[in-house]
Amino acid sequence: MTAVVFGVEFARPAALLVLLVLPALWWWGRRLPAVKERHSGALEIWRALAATLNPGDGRRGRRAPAHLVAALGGVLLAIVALAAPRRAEVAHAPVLVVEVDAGAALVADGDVETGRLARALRSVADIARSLQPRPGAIEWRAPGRPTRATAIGAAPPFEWFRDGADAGVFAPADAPDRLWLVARAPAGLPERAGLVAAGGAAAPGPVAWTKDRWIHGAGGVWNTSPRNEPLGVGFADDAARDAWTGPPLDVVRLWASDRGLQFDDADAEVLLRLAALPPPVRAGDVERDGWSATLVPRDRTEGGGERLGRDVTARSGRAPWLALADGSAVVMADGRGTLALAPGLWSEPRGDPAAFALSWARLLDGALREPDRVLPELARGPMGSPVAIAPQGFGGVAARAAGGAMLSWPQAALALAAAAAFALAARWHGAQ
Amino acid sequence: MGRAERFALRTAAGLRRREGGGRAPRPGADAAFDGLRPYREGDDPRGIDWGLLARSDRAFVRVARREAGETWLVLVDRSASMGIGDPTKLQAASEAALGLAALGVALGAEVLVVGDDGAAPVRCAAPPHIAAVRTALEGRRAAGRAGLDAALARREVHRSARVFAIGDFFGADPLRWCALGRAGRALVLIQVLADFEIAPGAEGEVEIADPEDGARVMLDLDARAAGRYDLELSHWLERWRQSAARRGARHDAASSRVPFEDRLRRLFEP
Repeated sequence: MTAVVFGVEFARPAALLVLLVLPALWWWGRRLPAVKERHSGALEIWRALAATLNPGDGRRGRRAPAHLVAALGGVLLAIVALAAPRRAEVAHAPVLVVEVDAGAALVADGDVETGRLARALRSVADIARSLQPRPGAIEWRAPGRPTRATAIGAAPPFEWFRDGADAGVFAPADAPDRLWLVARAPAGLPERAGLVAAGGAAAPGPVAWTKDRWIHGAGGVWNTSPRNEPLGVGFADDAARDAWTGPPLDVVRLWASDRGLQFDDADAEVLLRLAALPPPVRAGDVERDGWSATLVPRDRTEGGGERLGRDVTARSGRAPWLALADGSAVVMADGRGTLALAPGLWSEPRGDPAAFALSWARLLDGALREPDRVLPELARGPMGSPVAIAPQGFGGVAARAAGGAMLSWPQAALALAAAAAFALAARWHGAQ
Repeated sequence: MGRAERFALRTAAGLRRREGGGRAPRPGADAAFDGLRPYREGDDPRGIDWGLLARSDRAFVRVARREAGETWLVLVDRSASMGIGDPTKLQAASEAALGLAALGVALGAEVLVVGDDGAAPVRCAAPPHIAAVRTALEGRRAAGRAGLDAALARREVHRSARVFAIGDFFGADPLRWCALGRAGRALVLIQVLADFEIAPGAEGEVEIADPEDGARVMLDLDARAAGRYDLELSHWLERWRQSAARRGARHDAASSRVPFEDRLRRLFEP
């Protein structure tokens, strides 16, 4: 148990209870003679002199003896050192950085108790305990994800694995404070970083889908099964229902039917979500892939549509698929299963009618996300033997981290010794 | 043979030599003539009454009054303030008292050593008694607030031909003490002071405590304060010296570090 006081964390806060002894020591020390106490039978002379030299009563309050202050200061430092103070931000700094390959492979078998991820996490916890890190946290890092800190044995951020579509390039650092968490051991093992590879057999399941079947494949063996689970296209909200009209809606319906997707079916797993963008300010022409059309603003969007449009824009960070001459977005895809359209009245597309359909079909195919159960074949394949290697030289990292302590034992011992020496010197001087 | 006995033998021999020369030998009063006795082998030839020898053809020696049963009273202050110093003032006072006892015996006097506690005096009239005096003095500890003033009321003070008072005399009245000095009684005041009481240094912040009543004074003892103290102490000691001189008494003030031999020798010089 630790305690944070004024930005300082004490690893052993119970030691601070010893501070209660200090008032007793102070009281006892004040009962001792003053630093320079002299005895004299000529006190009458001294008293008269004190009245002359020190106007007042000649009996000023006794100052705290220097040796007592020094001794108590040394004891105070020793007690604080015993409580192991650290700057709070240093104390909370992670000891072990776990770099996670948050792709689908670790969760491909879907078994949270005995599956790949569960085994790997147990290995991580075992390694962390063996390293005896400071009380605090394991820092979890993954490409494209915010850093997360947890205690040893606590659950890691599982959502990373369920939301693996945005996983960036896994490029972990080969450092002694790092531990790589992957499904399959890489060809070249790290030199200093630790490695936990879940390993294990193939995880059977769909790797693709068609209009009416699931396609299974793992380790080069392929087969299919009927797809009874409905997949579909749906609206994000009412604003989206208002925005999606005219030729775009028509082409979406036709495309969905061709792909075997239900349209606006509440029972279907939505692979494409239709949303609304803010309406354009003025009318204009749009043109792409050999077709063109005129879009007239129709201010019928609700606030939710505008919000969603900004949300899509912000999340995707992409350029609009279709925009007016003034730059206003007309169609945007976020790459994660959402397609947004600005509300307006569409003219009939000009040019080759097939060009319009093909252009939109490519857009819709690209915007579609995979069903939850579909994982890449690489993630479903066998992962080889499990590997659990602790980082090399992690003790040195821990020692450097411990250097963040505000007061070390040697420093405290030195302070105590100096205080004792000063106290003795002061007492000796006072006794002369 | 201890320091006291060695001191007594040397000092007594010196005194006898000086007395033979007709000089005043002892502190406080002249050696009063008390009579004659037949010369015995070993007597100092200077004590022979040559005039009588010429008239009677028999050798007689002069006998001084002190050698005919004179009583010395040695008062030793053992109040708490005598426990100060290195060596303590009581240690120095006890050594001086023992030296006086030995000297008195060597000179044929009866010596009574008295403390300020009202106890019976320790009598010393012969060399074997010196050990008892030493034992009594060694067993004393500085304590209490009585001081030498309490001894002024003792009977022995008024019956003794010589009174030696040894102490620091802080808080005592010079006039009252020196009034003891009168014709027929010699008074010797031996003041023993600790180094800090004689010459305190500039020590900075100090707390000065009176060991008798525990009273304390805090002050910054710098060179100026030390100088002022030195002046005040000099005035105080001068009052004692003048009071003693007016009543024919002898007075000596010195540190407890000064050997008793030196101090007593000064007092017995003419």
